[in-house]
Amino acid sequence: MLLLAFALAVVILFVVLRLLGNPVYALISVGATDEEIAAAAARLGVDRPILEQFGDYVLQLTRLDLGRSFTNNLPVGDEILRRLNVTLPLTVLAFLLSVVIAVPVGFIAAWRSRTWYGTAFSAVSQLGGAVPVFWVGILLVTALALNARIFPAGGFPRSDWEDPGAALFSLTLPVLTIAIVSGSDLARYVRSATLDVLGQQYMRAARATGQSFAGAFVRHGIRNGIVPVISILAIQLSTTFVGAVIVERVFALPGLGDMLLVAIQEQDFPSVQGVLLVSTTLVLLLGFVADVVQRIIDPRLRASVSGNRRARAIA
Amino acid sequence: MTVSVPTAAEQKPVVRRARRRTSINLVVGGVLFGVIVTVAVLSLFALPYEPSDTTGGRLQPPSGEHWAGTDRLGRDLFTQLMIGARLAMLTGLGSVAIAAVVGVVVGLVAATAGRWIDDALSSLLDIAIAFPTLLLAMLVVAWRGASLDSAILAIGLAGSAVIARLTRVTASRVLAQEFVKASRTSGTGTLRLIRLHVLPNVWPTLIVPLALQFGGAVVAEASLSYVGLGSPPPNASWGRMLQEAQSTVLVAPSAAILPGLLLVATIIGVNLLADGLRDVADPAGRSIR
Repeated sequence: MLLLAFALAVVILFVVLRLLGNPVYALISVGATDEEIAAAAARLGVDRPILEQFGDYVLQLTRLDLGRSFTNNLPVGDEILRRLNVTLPLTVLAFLLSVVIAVPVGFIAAWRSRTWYGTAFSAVSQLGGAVPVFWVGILLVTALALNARIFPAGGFPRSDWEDPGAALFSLTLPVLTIAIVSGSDLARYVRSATLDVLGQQYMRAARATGQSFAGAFVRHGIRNGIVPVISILAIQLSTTFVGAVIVERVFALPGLGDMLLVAIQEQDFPSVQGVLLVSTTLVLLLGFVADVVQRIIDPRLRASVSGNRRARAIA
Repeated sequence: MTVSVPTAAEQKPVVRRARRRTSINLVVGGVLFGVIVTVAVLSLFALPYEPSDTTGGRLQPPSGEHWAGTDRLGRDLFTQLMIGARLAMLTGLGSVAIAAVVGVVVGLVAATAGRWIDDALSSLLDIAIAFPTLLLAMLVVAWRGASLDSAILAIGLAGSAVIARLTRVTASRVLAQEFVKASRTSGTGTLRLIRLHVLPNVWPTLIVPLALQFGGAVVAEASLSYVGLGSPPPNASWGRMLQEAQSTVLVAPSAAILPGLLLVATIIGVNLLADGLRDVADPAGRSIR
């Protein structure tokens, strides 16, 4: 399944970018002669038969080589690795923070759903999930960087992670931005999972055997309630990753998203292809990991028919 | 607004609950969304200023003449906000229409074609659903160039996968019903079966997901516009307005606040509307979300 998805992504990216778009236009200027166009095509190797190009591309991929950028002729793979230095910490930190926000908020919103603060927590998580992430970014920059001057408004230290303090400091606002939005999104799921668990018969039965509420919830509630939450976590982590693309723009961070946007504007197809391929692979891997974790937690899923079919496909 | 109630052919008989109060969600959502729609429709007939009229003075605060102030070129912001509403509605309607048509067709093919095609399509859909909308949108923009059409096409296609899966599930369930088998035995063709029995049962289940996708589409387009991959000026969408306002936020805060507020109002409006529709259509399913 995973391999199939990956192969499909490779083919789709190749078809869309190399067949439907013409990379030659990125290199030539307006009014170029036919010879100049042909020369540019030869330089990029796009004048060869399309299957040959595809074969070369796949061969390159097996060597983990993503080709060279059209605009600066540097290896795309190296550039992506450098950019991940910014994007991965941003994504992971934002995700962790959003879980830290979402779990208590969602739990209290469900557990105390009939009190004013329970309702308030639900309302806030509804609101937070409806706010575009870049707008939260703009508002935070305005309040905490431009007005209060606590954090930098954007950018990333040139020394990269040599000075971890400075690097973390410049990531604080972006992390907060993403965490607010994806945290409230996640809180809604935690809330409905908790509500679901609290209404179950097995919880009442556990209480009837004399267990305390906390004991019953920890022993039975969490194990049942967490299964749907985990699949949401994987989706959430991948949307966080994609959200980082946008948020990097707000804070002028030199991450993967910035690379992708610049590459799209400059029609630098190898870079676009590389970034999209790496992103897709990460997203697919996350989904796969979530699948496996769910099966470990909930034995019922292992026994299901689709589970068997998928297990065969993986093996 | 009319609400389609599941037809009598539904498997389980609809029991009318005693509690039939109008949903608050439906009312609040309807009002919020209604205001945005009204503004969008009005923008087709009357705008306070020409969109390219730069005589307003730069970065003016809101006043009697310019209700929302002006941007850094002296254009009236209220005019741009109205055009933004129109673009947001276009994005939502366009991508939801694409998602509905493509999704329902693919879902029906998967449900009615043989086992092999069904398996292949279902695996494809699993992959497509896992693929983030914005990445797909960026791929389409890289191919076709930045425009509103590209954005709508990409967002619609991304949304169609979920719709296709829902359609497949509901359609196979309906096709397995006794009355459908009876109808098939008496000589009804597949296309006619779909029209008579399957579609009337599929549509009601799609209304809420499609309404939610409307909101998602508006945010996605705003995000694309914000990073410069949406519709190019002078047809400014709210996302583009926010991007332009970011650098002058200390001088002209209203330009960086109003488009965002409208975006939030639209999304909350549509989401509440969807919740409300679900409450009305299926009171038992309230807590699911």
